[in-house]
Amino acid sequence: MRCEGTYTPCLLPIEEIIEETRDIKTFRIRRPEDFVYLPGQFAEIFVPGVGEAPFSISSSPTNPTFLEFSIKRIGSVTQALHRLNPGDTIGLRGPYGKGFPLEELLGKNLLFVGGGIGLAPLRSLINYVLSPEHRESFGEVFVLYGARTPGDLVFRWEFPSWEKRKDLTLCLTVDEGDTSWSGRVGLVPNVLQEVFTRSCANWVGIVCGPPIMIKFTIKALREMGFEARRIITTLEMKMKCGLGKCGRCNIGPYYVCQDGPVFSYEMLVTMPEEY
Amino acid sequence: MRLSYEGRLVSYEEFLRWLQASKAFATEIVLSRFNIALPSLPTPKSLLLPQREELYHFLWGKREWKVIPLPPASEKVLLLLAPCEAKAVVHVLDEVFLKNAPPDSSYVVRRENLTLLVVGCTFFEATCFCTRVGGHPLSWEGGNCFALPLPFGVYLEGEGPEGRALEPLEKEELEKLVERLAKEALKPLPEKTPEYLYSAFEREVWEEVAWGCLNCGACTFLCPTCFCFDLALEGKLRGAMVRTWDSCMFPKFTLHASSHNPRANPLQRVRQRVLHKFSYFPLRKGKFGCVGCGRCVLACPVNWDIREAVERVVSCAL
Repeated sequence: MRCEGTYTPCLLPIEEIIEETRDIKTFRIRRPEDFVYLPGQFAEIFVPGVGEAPFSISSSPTNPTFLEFSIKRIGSVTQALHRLNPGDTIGLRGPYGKGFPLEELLGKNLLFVGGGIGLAPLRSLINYVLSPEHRESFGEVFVLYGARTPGDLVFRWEFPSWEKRKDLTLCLTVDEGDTSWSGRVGLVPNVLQEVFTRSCANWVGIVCGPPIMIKFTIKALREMGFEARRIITTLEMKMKCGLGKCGRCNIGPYYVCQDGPVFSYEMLVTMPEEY
Repeated sequence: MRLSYEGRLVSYEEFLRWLQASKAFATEIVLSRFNIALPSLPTPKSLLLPQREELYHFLWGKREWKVIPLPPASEKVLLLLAPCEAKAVVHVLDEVFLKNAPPDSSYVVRRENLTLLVVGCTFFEATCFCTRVGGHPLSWEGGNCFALPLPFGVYLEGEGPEGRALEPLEKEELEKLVERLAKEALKPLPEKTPEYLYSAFEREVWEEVAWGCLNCGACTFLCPTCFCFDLALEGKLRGAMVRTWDSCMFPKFTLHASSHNPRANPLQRVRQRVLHKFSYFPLRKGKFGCVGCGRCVLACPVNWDIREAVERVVSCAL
């Protein structure tokens, strides 16, 4: 997307806001025509008078009309975002980073493992894979998604459309159930070993969630026989520029904003544990 | 670029006249190499990446937000600088802000306005270590012209005033100088230094190395290659996105909104500074991110010495 000046955002109105949980909202904005991106990439969102922060894009690039960002209220920019209404203006610059390695995923079965807000970047790829134009290029799709409580599950409004498909298995779990919950209860890495009982040949595991969940899910995948290069995750670091210049999001010699945020586990094990 | 001996000689009067006349195309002549103790004067870094810069304005008016891009404030500058400082511009700043796509739009304008007149060094300061990191006191790589102050005049290569060829005796003097500098030069760091340091990431030696450092960040501000910056908004209903220098020495540099901090302790931050210059940057770009100017050594309030730090860790990894 072109704007005058490397760091200048383009202003756009918020079209729609979806309340996902008590602290997560999905913001829908019209997709600028020249905003060309891949699942897994992120963008900087500017809130006038407050600041700017990077967010992964949770909509699929196969959707030509809008972009979606699912954002948890946690710092000053996200608090300000949560106070906005449809019609209010935000700024956008991007897309940045490298997305999921689509070519390596062609023809593979995809096991998505998400935790909490970590489903946001995965959802972009899931809907990309499920789109009529790409569905045949990929094999089976298995989605395991967990959150702390039933009220913390995001995109619940979209799950019925996934569940009714024959080419996708959706499995939900919560760490702690409540009276409304009749589904599975258990931590994602443990549940994973229970529900995913197939042979891991030709499967790729794609993981995103809180750091501790990523760590234990990768451990579980390794125990289940997934090769290091067949495990993919996407990382978060403090970022400002998004362009590999401001110098803060590096893990060893790699800039998460430029070389990531998507990394294979094979790559991750060569990097210092400083993230 | 190394000395060709094919250059020309001009008198000091002529050279100064040319510098003054150069104002026709350069609005400022800055003597940066004598500017170690006076950070208020411009350095190559502050000319290319000002300590505070407004990138765009925003304002609320007529019931809508506006964003107004700002063209970078920049003047034509003829900059006199030491070989190490020129190397900092060409090897590091250009690499990050020009070659690493997309280029930084304000850096591009400032860089085009900058003419680099490299002034060769005829002696090493106690804090100098350019030769340790692949530099040379008479190199003018990336510069537009080269000047070397000699007892009998100024030796010039590249752009600049006309002059006469060197007399055989003068050439001999110049050769003697080159010879003396070669003798005084330090041994270059081992070629595999970036790999050695990277492999020593987890070593305990970092505790000793990082111990004395106050994490004050003075070194990073004076460093001609330190380029890290912050972007922050100033103002509520009208204001600017401001870029300021930042430092990996500061704990908030990497602090997430969630309060998670991957470099929360001082050891991690010292290691980041040393490894960025001597391991991460070289592994990516094939050249050191340090030019050996010694400013950080000179300016450190507790005499923390990056040369010793690198040596300690490398010797550990060998």
